[in-house]
Order: sequence, then C-alpha cells, then structure tokens
Amino acid sequence: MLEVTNVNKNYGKKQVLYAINLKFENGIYGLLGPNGAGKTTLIHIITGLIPPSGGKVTYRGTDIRERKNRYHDDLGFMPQYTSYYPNFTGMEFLNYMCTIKGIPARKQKEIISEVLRIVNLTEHRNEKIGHYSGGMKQRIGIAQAIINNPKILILDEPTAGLDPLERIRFRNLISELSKDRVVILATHIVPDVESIASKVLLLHKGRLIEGGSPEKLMNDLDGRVALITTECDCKTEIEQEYHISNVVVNNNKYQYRIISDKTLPANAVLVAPTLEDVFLLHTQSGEEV
Amino acid sequence: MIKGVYYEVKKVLHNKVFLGLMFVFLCVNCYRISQLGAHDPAISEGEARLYQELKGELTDEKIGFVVDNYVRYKGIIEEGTYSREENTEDTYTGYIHGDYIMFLKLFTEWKELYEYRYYCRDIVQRASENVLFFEDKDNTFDVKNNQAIMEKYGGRKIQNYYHKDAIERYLEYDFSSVFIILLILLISTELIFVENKTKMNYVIDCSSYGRARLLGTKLVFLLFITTLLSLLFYASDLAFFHLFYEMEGLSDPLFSIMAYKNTPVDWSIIGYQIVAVAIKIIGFQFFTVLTFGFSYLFLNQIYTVIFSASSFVLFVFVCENTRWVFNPVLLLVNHNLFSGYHVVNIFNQPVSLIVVYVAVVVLALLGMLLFLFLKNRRTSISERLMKKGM
Repeated sequence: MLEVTNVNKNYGKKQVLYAINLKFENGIYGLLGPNGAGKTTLIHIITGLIPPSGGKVTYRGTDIRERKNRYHDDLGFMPQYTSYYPNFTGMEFLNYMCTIKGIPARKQKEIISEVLRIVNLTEHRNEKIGHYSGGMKQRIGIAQAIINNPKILILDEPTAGLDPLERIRFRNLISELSKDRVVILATHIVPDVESIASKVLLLHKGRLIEGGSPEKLMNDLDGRVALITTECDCKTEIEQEYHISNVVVNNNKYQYRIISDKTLPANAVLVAPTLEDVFLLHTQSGEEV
Repeated sequence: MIKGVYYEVKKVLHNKVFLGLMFVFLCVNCYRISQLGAHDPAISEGEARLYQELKGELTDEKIGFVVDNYVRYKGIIEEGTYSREENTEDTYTGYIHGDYIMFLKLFTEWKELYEYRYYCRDIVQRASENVLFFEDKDNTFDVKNNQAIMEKYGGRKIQNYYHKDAIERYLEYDFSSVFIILLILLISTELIFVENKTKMNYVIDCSSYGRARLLGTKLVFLLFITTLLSLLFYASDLAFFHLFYEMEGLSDPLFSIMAYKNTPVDWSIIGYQIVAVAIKIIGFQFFTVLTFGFSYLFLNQIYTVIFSASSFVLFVFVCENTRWVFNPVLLLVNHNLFSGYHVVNIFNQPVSLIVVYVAVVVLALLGMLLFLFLKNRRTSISERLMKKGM
C-alpha cells in the first residue's frame, strides 16, 4: 500500500537518511531508534511534509507528492511535542480538525462523538485543552489523527512524557486502531512497540539497520544474552568485551545483563532476549543490514 | 471559509495581551481627543444663545440680522462714545465691544460662506475660458480637465451655518491610525506563529484542506480584522469627538469647511469621511499583508516586527519628503488628497490623483497576495520551518 523507495535526505552537506527502503501493509510498524536516528525526518518524508533528497514515497503506486491531497485524505498524523490550541475545548478542536480535513458538516457531530468515545475523552470534551493532563493531550492528538478514518496512521513519539499507566492505555488503544490500517509508531521507547508491533524497524544514524517481527529479532539473539554476577564493579572490563544492557546492584553484588557476539564467560547465565537487547545491540554497534 | 475564519479568530483573539492593548488604546485615544481643545473658545452664555438662534439654514432673515447688527455695532464703536459698563440686558456678551467683536466675526465668517458661490463661479468662468483656449490648441487633456472643473465646481453654494472647528479637527485627526498599525503588527505576527508555537503547522500541512486553504483563511481573517479594527477606532473617534465637542452639520457638503473649499467632491462631510475611512482601510490592508508577508518569509517574530516597523517608518519618510506615487501612508492621512483638485494625465484623461494612489496600492497589495500564494504552493510553511530547524 505504502512504499518508501531508496529515500535519502540531506540538509546541505549533512546526510540524515541513507537509502531507506520499506513497504507497509496493514498492521503496526514500530520505528525504533535513538534520538537523532532520523525517525522524525523519515516520518516527515512519509507524511509529505518535506521532500526526500532522493528516492520517493508512493501510495497505491503513485508518488505521494503527485496526488498529495488524495493521499492526505487517507492519512492521519500525530506529530511529537504538539500542544494544539490551549484555548480550544476538546470539542472545538475536533470541530476545527474536521473542517480542515474536509469532513462534511452534517457528519462532524457524529464522528466527533465516536472519536471522543474511542479515546475516552467524552467527559472532558468541553474543557480547554490547556487544562488537559499530558495523557489527555496525547489522546486528543490521537483523536485528531483518526478523525478522518485514515488508512495510514502515523504517530511520532506518542507516549513521550506519559506515565506507565497512560502508556499501557495508549498501547491498547493503538492495538484497537490497527485493524485494517497501517500504523507507524515512531519511538525510542522500546516497550511501546514490543508487545503490539507486527514489525519493528530499527533506525540508527540515518540507516535502516534491522527489520522484522519482534519475535524474529529476539530469536536472532537467542543464546547471546546473559546475566553475569560479580562481587566488584567490573563494568569497564566487561564493556570492553560485551554490550551491557542493564546493571543491577544488590547487596554489594553487581549483576550485568550482557549481549555478546562471542563465547560467553563461564559464569554467564543465559536469559531470554528482549527487544531492548536487540535495540541496544544494533545501536551501540552501528550494524547495517 | 467562514468557519475557517472563525477558528482563526479563536486562535488569536483569546490573547489577553491583544484585547488588553486594544482597550488601553481606546482609552488613550479617548483621552487624547478630549485634550485637543477642539471646542469653540470660551464663549459667553449670550454668544451660545445667539448661536442657537442663528445656526442652521442661512436665511435672508438671519443674514439681514447679522449684517444689520454688524453695521450698527461698527458705527457705535467708531463713534467711541459707547458705555463700557457691563450690560447683560441689551447685549449678548455683556459688553458692547464684546458684541461688536462677536458680530464682526460672524459677519466675516458669513460673508465667506455666502460669497463661496461667487468664488466657485469665478473658477467655473476661468475654466470655461480655458476650454476655449485649449480647444484652439487641440489640447484634449486640458479641455477635458477644465470641463471637469466646470462640472465639479459649478452651482456650488453653502446653505447652512454651523461651528465646524471640531469637525475640521475630527477630519484631520489621524492619531488612532498609530494604534491600528500597532495592533495589526501584533495580530499579524501572532497569526502565523501560533501554528509554529503549537506545532500545529505539521498537522495542518498533512490535511487535505489545511495546506491549500490555511494561507487563504488566515489572510481573509487578517483583512477582516484590519477592517474591524479600523471601523472600531474610527467609530470611536466620531463618538468621542461628538461627545466632547458636539459636532453639528455633518450632513453639510465638505466644501462648507473653508479648509476644503477647493475639494473636487460634493459629498456630505459624513459621506466624505466614510470614503476617507474606506481609503484608509485599503492603506491598512497593505500594511497588514506586508507584515504577514514578512512573517511568512522570515518565520521569525523579531525580524518581522523590525522589518514591518521599518517599512512603515520608511513610507512615512517618503510621504513627508517626496511625491512618490506609491505610498500607502498617503492613504492613511488622505485628507490632504481631498483638500484640492489634483489630477494626472492618463491617456489624455484627467484622472484624480486619489484614484491613482489608491489603484497603485491596490495593485501592490494584489501583487503581494499573488506572491504569497505562489510561494506557498511550492513550499509549505512546515517545510520551511524544518529547514530552519524549527
């Protein structure tokens, strides 16, 4: 449905994306990467906000920059760090979004009611957005993104600043919304995609370094993730040999969670890999696919 | 589009700074008008009473009354044997000399009003002679120009008498224009940066109608709010002037004010003021779009304010020191344009200079709008903001 073909992006002499090739069908795609990896730039290219320096993005076979308006009819986008209009009530804001998305006036009331119900903001619809909590603001962001029933829903760092409970609610909401549409979730928070994404795309320094289902990516690390316990703080020595994903200090014992390409030490205890391990391994080593 | 404009109103007019400033400016404007001293110099109760008797239509009876009293008092004063004691029963001012001065002033004023018809008749006479002269010379433009003069100034007479000092001050009052410009500057910059501040430009640029229509909607809103602000302040000017100085005779022709005796228009004073305000609004719209254009180009509030304010100052300087045909400030202080007959030769037709000034500014305004729309089609605001790292 949506295809990214050999997309490059540079700002002057600085290249921020290198030859990105992706195909999206219905389902949730987690676009993972550390800060500065190029996630937001890639998102902005996919949404048509900025043109690629090379390559193209096509929707149903046509370049999105050629059929821009019709592509945007099927697009819902929630950018990061958007404060919306603080003096608008939730209802007014969604009315405004209906207007700029071309939703006929006669359908707006019904659609807004449904969307507010989905994001659980019906009770707060007449409160000003400026008075919303962080979680409520993110939910109104989702609401405006889905109001036109988009085939493609793109969310950029949607859980930034949310507490764990809100993040769980958010993940559940995204899962519900992912039926019959492409959902692209750009984030650096691994647990946000681990449980809901059908495919994870790892971006690092502008390059797509890994892609696949979470299970596949974790299975690739089978036998390579382990725990080492020591009596002393040996982080420096361990770091020279292995990637450390976590350190726990308990009763003067140091437990290191390591990821290794080499033979594991004798005292290492194998554990099941997590997506966070995959993320850390690839971003710390800078591997390319 | 109307709904879109409503939402633009809501985006910026919640701004308490804007609303507060508007209120403060209205109060300052009111105070300024009250301090102008445009009412008649202190006149006695008797003078005020006489004015009430004489104001209105210049009838033969009233004219005879003024002339007779002027001649009588003149004779008394020339004789020199009049009483200098206060006499409130037989005089208006309380003193014979005071009455003489009062009737002298009235006589002089009424003479000018009455003889205005002869002044215009002389103009028409000269113009008709000019027509014959220029016809001989095959000078089409000057023939038409003088024919236009004959048409405009023929048959004029002033039929009413009112104190018009306050009206004259009102017509020349431009101080409120400063407040309008400041508010336009504030709201124009706010209108484009509100999307940047909230990051809503990314959302809008990803919507079907948003990118295509947002620029147009914002401009329509700005043009609307400029008109509204202008009408608000000019209505308040009229209200405050009337409140403090009680203006009468607004339905009299403009040429009944001696400072405008040469005006080419025969509109009523209030009719002229409506046109003058409309022309001022065109001038303000130019500055509105210019400021919006700077906002759009620079994407930086400080640069926008600096360039907009500098442009305004530059145009004021040009207005003061040159007769450059493109000068939107001239539209803001346009009473000078109506005080005399000024035309230019365009294809052998006498065209009013006012029309030329307005047309040039309107063309410049349309040019700016076209530029903005074409630029927005090529590169959205989001794209430009991202290039700037915003």
